[in-house]
Amino acid sequence: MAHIKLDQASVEIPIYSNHNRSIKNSFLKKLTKDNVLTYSVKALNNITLQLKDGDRLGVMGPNGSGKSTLLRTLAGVYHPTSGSIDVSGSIASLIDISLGMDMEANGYENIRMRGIMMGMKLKQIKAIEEEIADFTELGQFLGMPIRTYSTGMHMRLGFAVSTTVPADIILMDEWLSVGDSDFLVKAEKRLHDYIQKSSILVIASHSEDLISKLTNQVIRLDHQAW
Amino acid sequence: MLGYNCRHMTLHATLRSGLEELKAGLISHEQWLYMAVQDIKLRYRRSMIGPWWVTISTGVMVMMLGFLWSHIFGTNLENYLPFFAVGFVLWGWMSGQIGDAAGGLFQFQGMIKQVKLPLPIFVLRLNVRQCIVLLHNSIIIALVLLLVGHGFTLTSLVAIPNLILIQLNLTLLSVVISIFCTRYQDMTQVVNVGTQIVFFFTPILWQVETLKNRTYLAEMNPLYHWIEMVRAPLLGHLPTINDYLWTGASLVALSILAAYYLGRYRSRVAYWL
Repeated sequence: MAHIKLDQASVEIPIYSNHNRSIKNSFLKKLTKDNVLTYSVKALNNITLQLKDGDRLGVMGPNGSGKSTLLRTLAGVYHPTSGSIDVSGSIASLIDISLGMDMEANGYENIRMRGIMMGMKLKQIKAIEEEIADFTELGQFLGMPIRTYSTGMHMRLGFAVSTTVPADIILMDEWLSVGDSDFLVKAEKRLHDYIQKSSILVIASHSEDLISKLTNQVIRLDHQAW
Repeated sequence: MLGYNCRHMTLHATLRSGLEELKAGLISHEQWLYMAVQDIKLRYRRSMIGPWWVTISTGVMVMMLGFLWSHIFGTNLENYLPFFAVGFVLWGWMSGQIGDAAGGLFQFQGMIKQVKLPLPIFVLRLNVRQCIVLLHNSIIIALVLLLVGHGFTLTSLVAIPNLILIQLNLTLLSVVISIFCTRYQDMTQVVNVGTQIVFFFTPILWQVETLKNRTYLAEMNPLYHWIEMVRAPLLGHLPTINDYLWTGASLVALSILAAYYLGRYRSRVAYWL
């Protein structure tokens, strides 16, 4: 059974300038016992959260309120600087749709690369490669380096692969604007099917419409002066 | 998958979680092998002869410097060139991995900031790339040994397991350096300059015998032993017990250091990128 438990979790991201990235300065600071706190941003402040099987959580809030940071924390990328996190289940992290893509490689190679980086086995990928290729409708473009693609074509490819990797927990950032309206209908259906197969969904978005369609609960993050 | 706060971990727990991370990285061989092969494939696509460019330039260097230095040292070419060619190619392989690691993990930040993957995957990907380049460059060794040296013997085969042993050392070292250089960006230059200095201190251009009664200068240098482990069998004699001891000792020391670094700083790396 998949579950997510955040207990009083905070994430504080240090802002490194060239000054404190230097080892010389780190040494000097230690020698002079000059414990000036590094300048940092509190991206998440005491978040407590419990999600279980069947939960679909929408994350809303203005730009810079910590939506992506929350997703990254759930993905295990940022380890909370205080508080604790407990996640069980496999995770598909769809924060950046062009993860692991190489501009010089062709479409097929990119399907494989992205699939592998998202934790699939090469055998698994080869079995579903054609299905992905069909879905993208990119046809012979798949044999070309993806630097020749338009933004929309990129999105199609990334979207198709992302929504293939099976996972218990899906973390998504923003509704991916995928190309023209015909494709959009197809994409939405695929996304629904994909989410159906998962146990927990967490999606960050600005769109009330999308959130109400996909989720059964919502949290709102706020700016706060620190 | 269980989360815990690493800031208050005991040394024992730190080392254990570091070792688990190392293991997880090695097990995910599909990820690093495929990506490394893909990297090389793309290099071939960009220029027709791809990594062979490195082989050509290394080959020219070996020939030129080989002639020059054998004259300077007054040794005969037949003796010097195989020694220099093998050492120089191996050095390119070793220093290439250290240089890659010193570049830090910035080139993978897109992935590191989105998916939780074992950190050694990225280091191994860089390592495998250099190993494929070495595979290309080994033609230089083969040509020099066959045309100028004494060819191959059964002893040469010892070089293969020893090469793997040195690769393990290099991978662990790369883990440490890459984490370190991700935290302290000014260290990239220091590591690169350091590598160059070590080159001149290691018997690659010059032979140990030239040190006369100061051979300790080489004996105290672990990189000398790493090179000897592979170079000696290729030149027809077995590595010394000392070479094995140093390699084993560095393997143990680097394992502990790499495990500590991974256990202690693994969860901080994303914050540094």
